[in-house]
Amino acid sequence: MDLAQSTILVVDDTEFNRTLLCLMLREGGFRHVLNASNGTQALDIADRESPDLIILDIMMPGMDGYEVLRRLRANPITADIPVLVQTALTSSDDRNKAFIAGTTDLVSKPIDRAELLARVRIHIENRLLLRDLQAFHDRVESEIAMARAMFSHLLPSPDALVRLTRSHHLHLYGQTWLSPLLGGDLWGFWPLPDARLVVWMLDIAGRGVTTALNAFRMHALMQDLAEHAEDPVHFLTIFAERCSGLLPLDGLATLLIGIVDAIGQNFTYASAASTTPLLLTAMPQAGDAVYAGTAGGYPLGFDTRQEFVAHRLPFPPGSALLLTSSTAITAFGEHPECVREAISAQETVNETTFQQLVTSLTAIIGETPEDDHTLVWIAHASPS
Amino acid sequence: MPALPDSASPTLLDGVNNARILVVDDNRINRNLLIALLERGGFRNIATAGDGVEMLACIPEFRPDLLLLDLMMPNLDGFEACRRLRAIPDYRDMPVLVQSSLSRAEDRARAFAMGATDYVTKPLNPAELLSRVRIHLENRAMLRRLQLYRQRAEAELTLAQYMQEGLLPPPALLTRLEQQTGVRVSAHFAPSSELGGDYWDVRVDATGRLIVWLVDFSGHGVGAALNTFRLHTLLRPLTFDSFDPATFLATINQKLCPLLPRGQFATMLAGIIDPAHDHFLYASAGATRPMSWTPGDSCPHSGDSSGLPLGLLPGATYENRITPLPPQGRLFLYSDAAVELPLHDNPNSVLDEDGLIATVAALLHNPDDTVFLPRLMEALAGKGHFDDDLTAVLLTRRR
Repeated sequence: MDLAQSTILVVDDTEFNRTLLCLMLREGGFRHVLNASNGTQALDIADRESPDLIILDIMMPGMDGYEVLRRLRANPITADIPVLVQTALTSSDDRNKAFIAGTTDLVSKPIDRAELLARVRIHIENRLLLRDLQAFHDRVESEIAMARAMFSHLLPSPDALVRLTRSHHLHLYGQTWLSPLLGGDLWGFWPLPDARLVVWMLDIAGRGVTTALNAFRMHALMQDLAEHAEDPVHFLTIFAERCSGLLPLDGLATLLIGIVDAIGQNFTYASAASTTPLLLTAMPQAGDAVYAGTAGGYPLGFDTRQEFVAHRLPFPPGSALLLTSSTAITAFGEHPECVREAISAQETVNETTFQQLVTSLTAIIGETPEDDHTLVWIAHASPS
Repeated sequence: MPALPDSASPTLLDGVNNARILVVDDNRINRNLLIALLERGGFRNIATAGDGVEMLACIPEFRPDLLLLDLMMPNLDGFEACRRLRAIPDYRDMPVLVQSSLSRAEDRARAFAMGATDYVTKPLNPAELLSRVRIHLENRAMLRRLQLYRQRAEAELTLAQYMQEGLLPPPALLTRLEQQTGVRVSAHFAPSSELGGDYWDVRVDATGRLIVWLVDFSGHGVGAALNTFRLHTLLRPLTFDSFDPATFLATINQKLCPLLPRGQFATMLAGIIDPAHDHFLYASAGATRPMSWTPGDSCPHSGDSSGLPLGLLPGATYENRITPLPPQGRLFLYSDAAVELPLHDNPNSVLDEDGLIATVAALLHNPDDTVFLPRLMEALAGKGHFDDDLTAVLLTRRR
């Protein structure tokens, strides 16, 4: 860190004082020293040049140092610049006034050279360190923001979901809470002929950049193998094979893939250690209002020779399928009453039920939870 | 004593009120005064020490966020205690606010020389002391937050960087390939930050000929890296029995178009070294011009590389081209950071292809493969400052 590269702004209405300060600073190795003889000039230079430190006199005609301080703090560009007030004023009230107005430090006139340089060095070093750290933070955050945008681009758009109602007699809703760090929850659908729909949900444990990298790998793989999706068991078998060697040993990925058949009234699916799909119905003759399907299987990348099994859930009109990420299941598991309340609130299970689940989950995990959470809702478009 | 500021003042920082403050003073009355002052300022977590020895002993356990340090103390005075504190790396950044009745310039100078962060004289101005304490604590909190962020981000990005390097052919593989195909491959991979949008790889076809490709995804950093992982996943299971570069690029383009959002694209060059015809057969999707060099020539030949970048137009087609590559000949592929290199002595202009050819030409005559890339990087660093991901691959026909 090169202190000599820093810029210091000296503000004093007396030329003698300005010259003295500049001399002291120069002797201390600070070569870039700007000058201002009044408040207006000081504010202008500070705004334009963003000095690393401002040495500020208090007693000046026109705008005094207190006012300069207040305005510096009110301007976002200059609000964080450290200010060292140098004043002949000795009363406690005057000194406190400077701190209240927002100064960072204060020295009395006449200024002792050693003390001035010591304080200046402390403030400049601190400032340069902070700027460095802030620059790193901002750069990384902008890279993460771009990655997050790419990630949410992978998720089905609301438009795509709306179009399904007509073509497949289905209402499909998805709600994803994205972690402010990057996460690993993805889901998607592929339309099949004769009004059937492939739906899949991929859950990669963890968060952060490495998780997102693995999620993108998995997603690329999903797209590449889409042609095999008509047979969920076959898809998972090939997919698991392709995953071997791709994921690190501790990178757990789980996958649920299935075919929703609105006309045939069933949901056929296969699972690699995914969460269990839920069938929600408010019809008394269906028994329990919430019926959990079977899931099972081992996580991907774990055992390439596992055999997958096809499961089936009924999917009658008036019911809805709910797929959840493991984080959402955990959250609901800690508050099971939320699911029951959402269902029993209506006579039929419909979009309002889903919205209530979304509201409940938001209440449980907050607007920006640490991990990704996903809910996918599939219901018949035609009433029962 | 002047009035304290209203400790219920809303401007501040409930966060720092939990800060741990260590009061070091040999005089009990002074200690109690300071404690009372700090408590009225909203600080609860206060410990005390009676001299420098006690202070150094209690710091490791109490872990103060700030020290209020008297100077004149028996056993170990404040000056010496501060000096010793600063000698310990963990405590180099701890805010030390000296509070002393010593008021001469040389005392103050000495205190700062010993490492004090600030200095107030007794009798204290309570409001000023509290203001200073809060300023130091706020600053420390902000520094800590940013330092913690940096530590975590660096750890994570380092892991991700390791993952991205794992996409590339390892040295052991390249050694095997040289034995198998007679082509020696060396590469330089330097993303502009921890992660980048470049990716290169090699394969061998059914008849033992070497295939190579170099991809450059738009942008850089984490976003661009995500795309390299996608592409690597798509290419991984492919077999290369009969490799046609133009068809290969068209296939990759078809796969990438639905995956890349609007505005993202990739340039790519893919080709196969064909010893039977002493040439490199390749196709380009907007990549840089491949350079091939025949021993004895003063300059490398620069091949045509026009073609639509990947990800823009599904159904785009590409053209097969050749560039000569006889035995002992060299092929040089590179990402466009090398030609877009902003020059030191004229930041408004870049090295450009002619500049790169000249730089490369000077180094091609040295038959030692191991020095080409390092010397090239040195030469380029001398000319300009890289601001984009740089990948360079040198392939030499050893037979």
